[in-house]
Amino acid sequence: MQKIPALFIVNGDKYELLIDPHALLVEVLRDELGFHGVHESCGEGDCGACTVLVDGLAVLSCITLAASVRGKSIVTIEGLAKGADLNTLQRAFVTHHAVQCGYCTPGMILSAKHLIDENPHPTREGIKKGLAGNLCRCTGYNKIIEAVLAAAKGGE
Amino acid sequence: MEQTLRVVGKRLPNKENFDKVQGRADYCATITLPGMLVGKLLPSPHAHARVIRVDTSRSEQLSGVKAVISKKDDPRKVFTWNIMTFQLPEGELQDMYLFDDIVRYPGEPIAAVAAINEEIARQALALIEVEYEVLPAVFNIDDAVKSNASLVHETAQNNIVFPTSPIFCYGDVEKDFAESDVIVEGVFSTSKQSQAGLENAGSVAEYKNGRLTVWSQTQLPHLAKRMIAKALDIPEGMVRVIQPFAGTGFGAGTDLCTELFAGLLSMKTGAPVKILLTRNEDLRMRWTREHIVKIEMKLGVKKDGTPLALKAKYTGDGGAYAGKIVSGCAVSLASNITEYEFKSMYQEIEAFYTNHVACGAMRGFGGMQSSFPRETLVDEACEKINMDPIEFRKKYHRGVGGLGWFPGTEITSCGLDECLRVGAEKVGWKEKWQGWGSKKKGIRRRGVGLAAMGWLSGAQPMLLEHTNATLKFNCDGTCTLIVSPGNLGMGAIGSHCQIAAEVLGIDLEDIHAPFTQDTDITAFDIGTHASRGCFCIGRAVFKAAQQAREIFFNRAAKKLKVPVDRIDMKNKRFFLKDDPENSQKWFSFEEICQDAIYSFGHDCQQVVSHASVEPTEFAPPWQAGFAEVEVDTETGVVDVLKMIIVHDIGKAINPNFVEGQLEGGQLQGIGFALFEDMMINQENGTILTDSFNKHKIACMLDCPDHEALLVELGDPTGPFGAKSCGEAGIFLQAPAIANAIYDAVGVRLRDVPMTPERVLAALKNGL
Amino acid sequence: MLYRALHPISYLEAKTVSEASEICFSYNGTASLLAGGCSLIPLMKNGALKPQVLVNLATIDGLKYIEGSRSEGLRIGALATLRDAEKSLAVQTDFPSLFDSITQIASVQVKNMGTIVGNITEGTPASDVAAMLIALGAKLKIISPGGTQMVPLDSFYVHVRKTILRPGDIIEEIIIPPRSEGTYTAFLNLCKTKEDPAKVNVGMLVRIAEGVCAEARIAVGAVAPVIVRARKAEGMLQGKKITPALIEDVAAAVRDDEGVRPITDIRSTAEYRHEMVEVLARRALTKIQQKAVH
Repeated sequence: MQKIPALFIVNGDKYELLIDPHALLVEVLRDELGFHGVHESCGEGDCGACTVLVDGLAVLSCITLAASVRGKSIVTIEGLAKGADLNTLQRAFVTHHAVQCGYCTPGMILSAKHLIDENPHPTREGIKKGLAGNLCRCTGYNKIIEAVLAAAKGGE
Repeated sequence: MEQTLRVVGKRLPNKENFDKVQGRADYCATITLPGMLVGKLLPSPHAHARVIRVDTSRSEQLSGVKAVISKKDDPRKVFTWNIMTFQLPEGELQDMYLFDDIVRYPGEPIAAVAAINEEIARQALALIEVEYEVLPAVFNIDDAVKSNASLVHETAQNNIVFPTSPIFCYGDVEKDFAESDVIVEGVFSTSKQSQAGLENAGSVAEYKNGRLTVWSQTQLPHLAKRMIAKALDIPEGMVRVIQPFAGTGFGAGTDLCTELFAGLLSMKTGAPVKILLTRNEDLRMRWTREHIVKIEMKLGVKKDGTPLALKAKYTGDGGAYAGKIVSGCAVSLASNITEYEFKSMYQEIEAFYTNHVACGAMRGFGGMQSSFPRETLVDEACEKINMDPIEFRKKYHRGVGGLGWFPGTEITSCGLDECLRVGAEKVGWKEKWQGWGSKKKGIRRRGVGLAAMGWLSGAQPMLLEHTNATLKFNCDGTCTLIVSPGNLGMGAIGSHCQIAAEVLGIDLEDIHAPFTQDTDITAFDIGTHASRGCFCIGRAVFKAAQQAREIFFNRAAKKLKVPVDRIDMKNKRFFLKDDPENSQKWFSFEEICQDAIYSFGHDCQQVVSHASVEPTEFAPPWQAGFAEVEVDTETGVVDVLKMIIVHDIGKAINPNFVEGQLEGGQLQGIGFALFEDMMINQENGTILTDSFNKHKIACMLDCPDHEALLVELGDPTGPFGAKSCGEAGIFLQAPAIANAIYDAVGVRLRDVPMTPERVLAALKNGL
Repeated sequence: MLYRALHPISYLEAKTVSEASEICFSYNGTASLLAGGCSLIPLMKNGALKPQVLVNLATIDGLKYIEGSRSEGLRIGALATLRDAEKSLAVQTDFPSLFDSITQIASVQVKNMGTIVGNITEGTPASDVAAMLIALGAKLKIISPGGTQMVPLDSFYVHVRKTILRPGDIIEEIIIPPRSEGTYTAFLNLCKTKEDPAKVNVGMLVRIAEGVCAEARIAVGAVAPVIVRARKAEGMLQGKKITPALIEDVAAAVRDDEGVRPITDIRSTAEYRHEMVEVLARRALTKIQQKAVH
C-alpha cells in the first residue's frame, strides 16, 4: 500500500512524514514523532486516555486515522508548558493533587483545556459533563474537579 | 505527640506529578529502547485442553521474526505468578509452568513471538500451528466438586485448592448461639472485580551482558525479581527489575503477567522485547480480585446487643491457578475478628479450581468480603433488637489492646467513635434516619445506612513485612532517599520524603527520591500492598532519618567542640542551646554536610544512613461509612446521593495524598457495590466483558457526592502517628449502600453488584 | 514504526458525495466510508469489519450543516457531528428531546468526532439518537450511482448492524419533517453507567389537536434486533384524550408489542428490559401529557 506524504502540525511545529494509510494518530504521535505523553489504554474510544486536541477539539487519537488529520493543528500534552513553565491547568493539577498514577492525566488535562477554552467559567456539573469521556481509576475525580475549577478561576 | 510540625501534615505537591502533567513520565507502555522488538502472546481458544503439538517452524521463518517460544522452551520450573508467595513462610501453592502441557483458562498463552513490528508479530502468531485435545471444563464450584468433574490440575482431587478448614477460632459458638436472643444469618456473594487500571498490562525485558533487566508494573520489585529468576531458572543476581511509573496497580502488580514471556524472548533474541497487552487481553489475562463466590455468615447477639457468636464460611473460586485465593479467604476471615468483641468465633475457608483466569488481589483484599456480609447482618441484628445501628458500633467495637486479627495481635489505637460522630453529623443521620421499620412512600424513596470497619497497616504477622530505607547525603545539605515501595503514584515516596525532612529538620526541597524503583539500587523491600507504604516503610524512613540526625548532631558537636547534649538544631542550623544567638558558635546543616565529605581533617565520611525494620504491631485504620441513597422502586436504580466515609488514619503525613487514596477507593467501592462485574460465558468460559465498552468503571458522571474525611487522633506505633490509607477507602460503600437501600425500600441485598435488576427482583420478592 | 493496530488499507479522499458514491460502488463492498471514525475504526480493530479501502467523506465541503426549525423541519448534513447538534440553537429549542438523546452521550470526544449520520448508520438497536429520530419521523436522503431516494429511518434497519445500504449508497442528509403546534416529545433511557449504551430507550412523539391525540410515534430501542415502532400502542392513542388510565394502557401495550423481544446480555436481562419498556413508555407519555397541559 502506498505511503502518504503527510504534514503534521503538532504543538505548533511542522513535521513532514511518509505514513501508512492505516496508521492511527496515536501511533504516529507516539512512535514516529516521539510524543510519549500520548497514552493509549482501551484502543476503542471508551476511556479518553489518548485524547489530543485537533483544531482545538478534544478527540480520541486511538481511533483517528492519521491521514485524516493532515495539516490540522494538533496539540498534545507536551505542547502546554512554555519551556519549563507549566500552564495554569498543569500547575493546578499538581497543586490540587489531581494526579496519582498519571496515566489518564495527559488526556484529562487536554479535555479540561478544551472545556475551559470553550467555557471559561464552568460549574462543577459542567466539569463533570465536560470530562465524562476521560476515565480515571485512581483519584475518585474530586480533586480533578477542584483542579479544573481552580484553573478556570485563573489561579491554582 | 504534640509538636509543631513543619513538613509533615502539609499539603505539599507530589514531585513526581510535575513530570506526569507534562507527559514526561515513563511507563512500561511508553518505554522504547533501541532495537526493541514487539512481543505478542498466542492465547488458547479453549478453557481446558491438552496441548498436543505446537509447530512454530513456519512462524520462525517469517522475515522480521526474531524468536518464537513455546512448550519446547519452557525451563520446566514450577512457579506461580503470585510473587507474594515469598512472604509466607510456607508459601502459597505454586502450580504453574511457563508453557504447560495443559491450558486451563481461555486466553492462557501457549506461545509467544518477538518481531520487529506489530504487524509481523501478528502474522507470526497466525503461522503457529497448535493441536489441542479439548478437555471438559468446569466454570463454577458446584460443577468443579462433582465426583466425575474434569480436573483442572491432575493432582487436585475434586478440584480442591484448600479443603474446608477452620482458622483462628476461639470460644464456643454453638453454646453462644444457644444463649443468643437474636440470630441473623445469610448467604452472600461477591464479584470477580477487575483492577482495571488504565495502563494495559505490559513489560519490557532486555537481556544484555549476561543480565536480564525487566521493566515491570510490579508493586513488589524485589519479589518479582526472585520469581522471574526462579521461573526462568537463572540466578537471582542475574535479574534486575525496574519499576518505572505504573499506570495500574490496585493489586494487579502483586502478580506477574507478561514479564516472563518478555524475559525469555529477550534471552533468546539478545534484544529488548516489549509485550504490551491490548485492553481486551488485559481484561482476559490479568489475575483479578480474590473471587469469594460465597460467604455464609451467622451472628448471634443478646437483646442489649452484646455480640456473642460469629460463624462464617468463605468459599473461594480460585480459577485456573491457586494464586491468592487461599490468602484472600484467610484475610477476609481474619478481618472479621478486628471489628467487634464477639465472645466466640468459628470461621472456615475453602477454595477450588475452575477454568477461569486466576485470582490475584485487588485493593481491599479480603476486606470487601468481610465488611459486606458482616455489616449488613449487624444491621439486621440491630433491627431485631431495635437498637440504633450507630450505638451498636460504638458500644461493641474492639478498642485499644483488643484482639487485632491474628492471635496475639493487639489493636494499637482506635478512633472509630469519633468517625461515627463526624460521619453521622455530615450525612444528617439524626434528621434522615427515621428508625427501624419506617416505611417510605412514593416511587422514589430515600434511605440512609452505615457500616464500620477496622483494617490494617501492613499484613504482619501473616506476611513478611521486612522493609528498608536509605538516606545518602550530599555536600550541599540535600540528600537522596532510597526506598522501594512499588510506586503507583499514591504519594508514598512523597510522604516518606516529608517524614525524613521532618525528622532531619530540613525542607522537602532538600530531599530527592528516585521514583523509579531499581532492584540493583534499592535495598530489599516487600513493596506496596496490604496498606504498608506509609506505616511500614515510613517507619524505616523515620529510623534512617533519626540515625542520620544523630550522625550529624555528633559531627556538629565535634565541630563546635561541645558534648552533643549541649546543641540543638532549628531552621537547618546547629547551635548551642545556652548561646543560640552566637553566630560564632553555629553551623548550618549544609556546612556540616560539606564538612562530612570535604573535611580535610581526616574524618571524612559519606553519611549514609540505612535502616531495616520489621514492624510487628497491628495499627488498624478505622472507618465509619454513611450512605444516603434514593431508590427508584419502578426501575430499581439506586442513586447514591451522598457517600461519606470518615477515616481514623492516625495522622495524615500529607492530607492531599491521603484523601487522594481514600477518594480513589470510594469510586472503586461504589463500582464494586453497584455495577462492576466480570461476566463470563458459562458455556465456554470466555470473558464477555473484555473491553471498557463492556466492562464499566465509573466515569465522572457516575461520581456521586462523595467525601473522605480524616480524623487524626494519632497512633503510638506509626511514623508521626500515621496509620494506613491505601485500602481503607474501598470497604464500606457496599454495606452502607445495602443498609441504606433497606432503609429506603425494605429489601436486603446479599449479592454485589447491587444492580437495578437485582434491586427490582428483590422488591418484587419482598426480600 | 512499531505498532499498527489496523490492517493495511488504501485511503482515498472524496471531493463530492457523488464521487464518494461512485468509488464505493466500484469497490463493491470492500470499501467503507470514513467520517468521524467512532464506529468504523473500533469495528476494524476487532475484526468485525475488514475493508480494503477507506473513503474519507470528511474532506467534502458543505455537509456540516444543521438547519431549520420546528415549523420548517430540520436538515442535518452528513458531516454534522453530535457536538454540532448539541450546540445547535435550533436543536436545543425546537427539538428538545433530540437534544436530550444527544447530550446524555457521556463522551465529549465522541460527540466532537462522531457524526449523527455515522451514529445512526452503525445500526446498533441501542442508539439513543436513532430511536429519537424515528420518533420524530426522520427520513434519510440516500445518494447512490443509480439516483437519490428518501427512506424513512424506521425502514432503514434490517438487523443488528445491518441496514438497507448497499455499496455506493451514501446518506447525504437526515430530514426531520416540520411539526405543527401541539407536538410534544420525550426521550428516556436506562444505562448501567452514564458512559454505557442504553439497556432500553424510548423516544416518543405525540401531536395533540383539539384536545385529542392526532398522531403518535413510539420508538423503543435495545429490545429487538432493530428499533421497534410500537404501532399497536400508537393506534390506541389515536383520537383519544390522554388520561392517566390511557397512559397506563398504552404503556402496557408498548411493552406487550410483539416486536419487543429483549434478550439477556452483559448489560441487562430480558425480564428487566421487558418491564422497563412499560416504565419508560409510561414516564415518557406522562411527560408529554404534562407538557401538553402547560
